[in-house]
Amino acid sequence: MDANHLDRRQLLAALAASTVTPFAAFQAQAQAPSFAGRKLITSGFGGSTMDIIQSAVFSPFDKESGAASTQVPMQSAAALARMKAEAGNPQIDMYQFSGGQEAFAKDEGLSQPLSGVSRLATIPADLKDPDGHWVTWAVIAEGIVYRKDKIQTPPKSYKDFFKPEYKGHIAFPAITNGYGLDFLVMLAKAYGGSEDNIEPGFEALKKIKGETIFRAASDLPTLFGQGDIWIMPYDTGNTFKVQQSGLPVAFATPEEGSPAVFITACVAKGAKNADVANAAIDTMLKPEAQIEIARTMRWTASNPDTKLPSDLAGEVPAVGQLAKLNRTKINSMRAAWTERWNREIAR
Amino acid sequence: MTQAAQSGVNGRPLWRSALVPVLLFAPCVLVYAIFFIWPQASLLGLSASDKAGLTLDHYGRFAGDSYYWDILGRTLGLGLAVTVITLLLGLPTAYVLARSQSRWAGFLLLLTTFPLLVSAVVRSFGWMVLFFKDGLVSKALQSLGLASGPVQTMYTMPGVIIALAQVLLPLMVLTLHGVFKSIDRDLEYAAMSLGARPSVALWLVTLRLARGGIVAGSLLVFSLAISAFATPSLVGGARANVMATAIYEQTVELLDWPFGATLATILLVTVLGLSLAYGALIEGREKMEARP
Amino acid sequence: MTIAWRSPLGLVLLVLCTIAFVYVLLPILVIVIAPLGATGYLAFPPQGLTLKWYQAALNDQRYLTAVMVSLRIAVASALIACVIGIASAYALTRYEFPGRRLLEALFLSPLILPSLVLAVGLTLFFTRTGLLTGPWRLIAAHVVVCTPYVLRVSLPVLRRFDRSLEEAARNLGATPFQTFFLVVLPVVRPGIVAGTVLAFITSFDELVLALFLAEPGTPTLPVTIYSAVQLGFDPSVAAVSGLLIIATFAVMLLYHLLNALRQQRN
Repeated sequence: MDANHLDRRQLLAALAASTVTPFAAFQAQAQAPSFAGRKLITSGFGGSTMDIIQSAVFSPFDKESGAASTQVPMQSAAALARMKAEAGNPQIDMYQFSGGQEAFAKDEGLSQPLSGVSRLATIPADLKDPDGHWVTWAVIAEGIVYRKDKIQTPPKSYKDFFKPEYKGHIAFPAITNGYGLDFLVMLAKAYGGSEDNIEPGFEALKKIKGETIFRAASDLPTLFGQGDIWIMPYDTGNTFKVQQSGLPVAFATPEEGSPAVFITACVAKGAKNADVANAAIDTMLKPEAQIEIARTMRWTASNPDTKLPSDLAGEVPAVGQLAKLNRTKINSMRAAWTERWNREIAR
Repeated sequence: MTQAAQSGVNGRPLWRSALVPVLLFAPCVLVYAIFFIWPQASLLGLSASDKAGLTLDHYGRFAGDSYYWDILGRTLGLGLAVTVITLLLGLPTAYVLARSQSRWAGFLLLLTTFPLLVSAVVRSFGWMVLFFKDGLVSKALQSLGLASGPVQTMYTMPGVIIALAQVLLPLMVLTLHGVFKSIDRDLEYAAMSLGARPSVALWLVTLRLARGGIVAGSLLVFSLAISAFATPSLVGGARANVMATAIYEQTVELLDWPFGATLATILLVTVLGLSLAYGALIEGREKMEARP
Repeated sequence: MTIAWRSPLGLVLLVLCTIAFVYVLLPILVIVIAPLGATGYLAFPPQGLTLKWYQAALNDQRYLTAVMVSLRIAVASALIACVIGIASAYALTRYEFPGRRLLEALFLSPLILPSLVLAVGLTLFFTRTGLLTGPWRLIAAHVVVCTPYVLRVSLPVLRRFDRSLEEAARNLGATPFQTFFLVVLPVVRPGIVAGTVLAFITSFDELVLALFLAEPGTPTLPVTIYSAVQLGFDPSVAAVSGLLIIATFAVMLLYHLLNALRQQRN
C-alpha cells in the first residue's frame, strides 16, 4: 500500500515537473537547501497517523534534502509539557499539535517565528499565527459519528444527542480531550450560547452526563464494537479509521457547523535544527503532500492551491465549509471550564 | 547493641566501623540525591511559589475545595481496596506456592507475573473487552442472576479496583513468597509441638512470622495503587478521578505546574506519613513482644 | 509439616489460590486469544478466526527493535538497581542509627510519586544540567523507580534472616564480604531474585518516563505500543503483547522441563 502511494506521488511530482519551465525547475532546485548529514527530530501523533505523515511528508523531504527525520510519538498535550520542560535546550526541534497547544507555546515563549517557509504566504491568515510562530498544515472536521445500522436517518444537529431513543447509547469525550471541549462549545451554540456564553452548553451537557464519557480516541472502535454506542461527537479522520476496522459508522455534518481542528507545526525556541524544521514545514504545505494526507486520512488541506481529485473532493470537506471557533477565547477559558466540567459533569 | 558499639569493644576505631555502612549506602544515596531528590525538590518546590515569591496559595486552594479532598479520599480508598484484595488472595497463593512440594511451584510463581509483562495500555484494552455492556463480565453476572440487565463496569471505580488489583497481585505474591520461603519450617513445627492445633493455629503462627512481609507487601501495593495513572485513566475514564489523574490534568492538560506539584506533594506527604506510622506501629509491637 | 491441604483451612487456602490464578490469568488469556478474531477491534470471545493480526505484529519490524531497546534498558536498570538496592537494604537491616526509618522511607518514596511527576522533574533537570546523554537518561530514571522494588522485597527477607548465623561465621574468621556472599546471600536469594525480577519487569513496562526521556528515534516497547493505539486500537497491538506472553511462556516451560529431565537423570 505504501509503495502504491509513493508511486502515485512520484507520478504527480513527475507531472508537476514536466509542466513547469526548465528555468523554474532549476531555480526550485537551487533553492532547495542541502541538509545532508543533518537530523530533524519532531513530535508526532503516533500510530498509523505518524506512519502516513512519515511517508507523505518526511520521507520525500529526507530524500530531497538529505536530512534524517524522526518523529517522536507524543499526544499534543504531553508534547507541550515536554516542550515546556525542555525550554532553552530542546531535544525536539519541531512540534506538531492538534489541540490549540501552539498558542500556549507561543505565549510561554517556547516557539520561534518560522523563517524561510516560502509557502507560508499562500496560507490564509486565519490558519496561521500573525507573528508567524505557527502554521496550520492540515485541518480536521469535527461532527457527529453514528452507527448506520442503528440510526437510519443521519443526525442533523447537536440537538440530536437528546433524542430519547438514543438514551444509553451516547458517548462523548472528556473535556481534557480537545473534542470534548469543542462539544461543550457547540452545544452552547446549538442552544443559543457561544464561546462567550457557555452556560447553555453546560445546561445541555448535564442532561446527558449519565452517558458514557471516554478520554482517548483509541477507545472509539471498542466503544462502537463492544460498548453498544450509537452516536458520539468526533471527527472525519477517526470515522474513517473506525470504518476501516469493519464497523458500520458514518460521519454527519451538523447544521450548527463542523468545527475545524487545526493541525499545526511550530519550531522550538533554541532548536538545534531549526533550519531543517523550517524546510520540512514548507514541504508539509506542498499541495502534493496535502493531497496525499487527504487521501490517506481524510484530513482537509490548508493550502488553498491544493486541488483535490474529484473522487476525494466529495469525501473531504473544504476549509471554507468548516466553522472556525474562537480559539483565543476557548484557550483562555479552558482551565475554568475544566474545573467546572469536573465538578458538574464527571461527578 | 549496635554494630558500632560491638566493634568498639573489639578495639577498632569508630570511624572504621562506620566506613562499611557509609560505603554500603553511598551508591544509592548518590543516585537518589542526583536523580531523585534534586530534580523532584525543584519541581515540588514550585508548589510553594508563584511569580511574586513564596506563597501557600496553592495549598490553600486545595484545602478550601471539597472537590480535591474527595479526590484524595477516593485515592486512599482505592489504595486500601486494592491492598485488601491483593492480601486476601496473595497470602494463600504465596503460602501454597512456598510450601508446595510440587516441582511446578516455581513455574506457577513465575506464571503469576504475566500481567506485568503486558503493557498497561494493552491490559486496559483487555479489561475493556470484558467490562463493556456486551462483555463477558456483564454476561456472566446476568447468567448467574446477579444482574437483571446489562452491567457496565468500564469507566467505573469498581472497574479500576478490579483491574489494578489484578496487576498488583503478583507483587504481593512475590513479596510474601520470599518471606514464607525464608521462614524456617522448624518454627512451624515447634509451634505445633507446643500444642497448636494443626491448621488454624499454624496458619496464625505463620502469618505472625511473616508480618514483616505483610507490611512490606501491603505498603508496596498501596503505594503503587495510589500513584497509578494508566489504569485509572484508561479503565476509569473521566469519572474515576484520583490524585494521579488530577496531577496529570493540571501538569499536562492545563500546564498549571505549581498546582500539579502541590497535589503531588500532598500525596507524597500523606502516604509517607501513613506508611511511617504503619511501619512504626508494627515494628514497635514487635519490639514490645521481643522484650522478655 | 505444613498445613494439611485436605483440612478445611487447607481447602479454603487452595480455593483462594485457584481464584487468584483465574483472576490473574483470565485477562491475559483474553489478550492472547482476542487477536485471533477477524474483527478490526478486540472482541471476546473472538468472532471468526484469523492469524492476520499476529502476522502483522510479527512483520512489523518496529516492535522487534523496540523489544531489543526495552531489554537493554531493563537489564541495565535492573542490574544497577539490584546492586545499589541490596547494599542499602543490607545496611538498613544491619546497622541501627538515628534517622534509619526516614532513610528507608526516602528510598521507597519514588513508588508513591506518580511517574509523570518524576518525568517532568527529570526532564527539567536534564535540560538545565545537560547531564547524561543517549539511553543513560532513561536508565537513570528507571534506576530510581526500580530500586524501591528491590528494597521492598529484600528488606523483609533480610530482616527475617537469622543473624546468629552471620555472627558465627564472623567468629570463625570470615571477612564481612565472605560472610555476606557465602552465608547471607544463599539464604536471602529468593528475595533478591524476586526484587530484581520486579525491577526488570517494571523498567520493561514503564511508559511515562520513557515517553519523556527515551532517546528520540529509539522508542521502548511501551512507547511503541502507546504510540500505535493513539488513534484507534487495532488487534495487532494486542498480538504484540500476546507474542511476548507466548514466548515467555515457552521459554519458561522449556527451562522447567529441561530442569526436570536433568533431575530425573541424576
